[in-house]
Amino acid sequence: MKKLSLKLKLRIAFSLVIGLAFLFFIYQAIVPFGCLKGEYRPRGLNFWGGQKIVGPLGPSDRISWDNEYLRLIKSPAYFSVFSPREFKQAKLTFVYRNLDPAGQPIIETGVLVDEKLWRFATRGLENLILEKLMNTWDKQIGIDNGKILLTNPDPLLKLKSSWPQTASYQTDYDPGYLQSALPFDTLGDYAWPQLRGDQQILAAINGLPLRFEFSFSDLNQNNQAGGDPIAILIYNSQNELISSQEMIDDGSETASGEIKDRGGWQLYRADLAPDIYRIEVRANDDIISSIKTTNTHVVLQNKAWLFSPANLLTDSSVLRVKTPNPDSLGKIVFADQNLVLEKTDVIYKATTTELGLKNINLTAGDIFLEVEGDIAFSADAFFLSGSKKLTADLNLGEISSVVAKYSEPEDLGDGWRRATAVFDLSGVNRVDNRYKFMLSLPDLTQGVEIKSIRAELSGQSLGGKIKKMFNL
Amino acid sequence: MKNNLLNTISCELFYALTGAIILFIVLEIIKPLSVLTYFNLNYLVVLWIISAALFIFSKK
Repeated sequence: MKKLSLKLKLRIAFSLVIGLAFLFFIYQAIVPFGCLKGEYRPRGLNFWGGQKIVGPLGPSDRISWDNEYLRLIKSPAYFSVFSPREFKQAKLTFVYRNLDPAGQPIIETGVLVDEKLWRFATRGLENLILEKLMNTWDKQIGIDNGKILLTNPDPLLKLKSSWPQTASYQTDYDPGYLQSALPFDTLGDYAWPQLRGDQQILAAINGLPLRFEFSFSDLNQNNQAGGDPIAILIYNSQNELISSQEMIDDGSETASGEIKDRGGWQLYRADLAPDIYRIEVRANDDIISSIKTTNTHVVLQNKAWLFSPANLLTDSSVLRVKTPNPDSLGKIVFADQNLVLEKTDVIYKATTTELGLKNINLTAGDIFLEVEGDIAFSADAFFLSGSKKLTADLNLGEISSVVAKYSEPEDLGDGWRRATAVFDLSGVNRVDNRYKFMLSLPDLTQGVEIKSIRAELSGQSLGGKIKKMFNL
Repeated sequence: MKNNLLNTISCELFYALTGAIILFIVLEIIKPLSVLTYFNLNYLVVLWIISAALFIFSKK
């Protein structure tokens, strides 16, 4: 047999190495068995220098190196998971420590479901408030698909009977129950103060048509290519899109700063079944110069960006406020509290123990508000839009029971805890071939140490895809 | 003899690394992040420059 030359031997060896590497990259890009796993270890060795499937956590001003572990010092922090194709489910496992029942009792994670509105679908990892209630309140385990029901032995119920007296964690009211609790419609004529930017409006419809009139003004403060179109989308309580409307920009793509009238849009739907509808107004940075409605039971969900002074009401015990405008600095009244905005773009928080509806009085516009509930312009507008979330700021005296889906994290010793969250990725968009996630501590004080983040993406296998394609 | 051996190795290494860079960059263009997620192509470029230098010097 003829002996191979050195040149040929080297050529075969190098081709084999490159070929194997190529096959590995192709295999990882196709994911033929429908399962991709990766782990982010902040102190881990990255021999090949790749970007890795998971991570890193950022932005850099929200993390710090403390001894040998990464510490989350500002919340939320973000990370992404590489996904060469679409997957159905993501299972994230975090190893962390330093959660504190007094200062920072809740840690949660979320997947970015709407890049435009920067909205995340969140899942709790650990909730020390719930764990405390599980030891002090009356507990029923395993009701309705493994949910936990906790009953307050000493509630201070001073609310309207139609108000949510149940708080929830990782689950919500039965939609059937929500529909049966819908208030009857009464015809009114309501005009709202000016709002700015994206808004989410909830309207309870029970017989009467859904009727809104929107007018918009363009601030022309951004240089977005194609101008900034305004979109209005309507969803039902099952999150199904009912209708959508887009208003294109006048074509001005430069930030002239000149306020221009953008016209308006009338929404009238008489064919809607009784339900709670979410009207999503995607107005970018523009002003919603007028909103008129004949529907009585209408609230703003969680957030509002007021462009003009207003008197508002909320069912939340906590208010977070910020403003980008120096002219809007000053005092805000929230229930029995006075909140003073001293700096722009800084979040100020106020909490109250007052029961029932709380007043929010804004003497200036261009103020962004965030609450743990809904915001309305009159007391009659409130309705049961969902359950209150069990957070650190919730006044437990107002709550008669808590419904939760919860499994306690695993204790790994030395303070380390391992918690897992599972996300349904159907309908979740990938950004640059990556799913975007966040890690959040709503009331972060001293921060938490992160040891590792593990991600398992699972979806249809290549064989399954081929079978589906050919209907086998 | 020794110079000839070095010449052969550096030549083959240079050709292999050139092929690998082209292959992986094409793959990266077709399917973004499929290579960069696992491997930093800068490492390969540095190796390629070293092999090119060796190749040139061994020819002299």
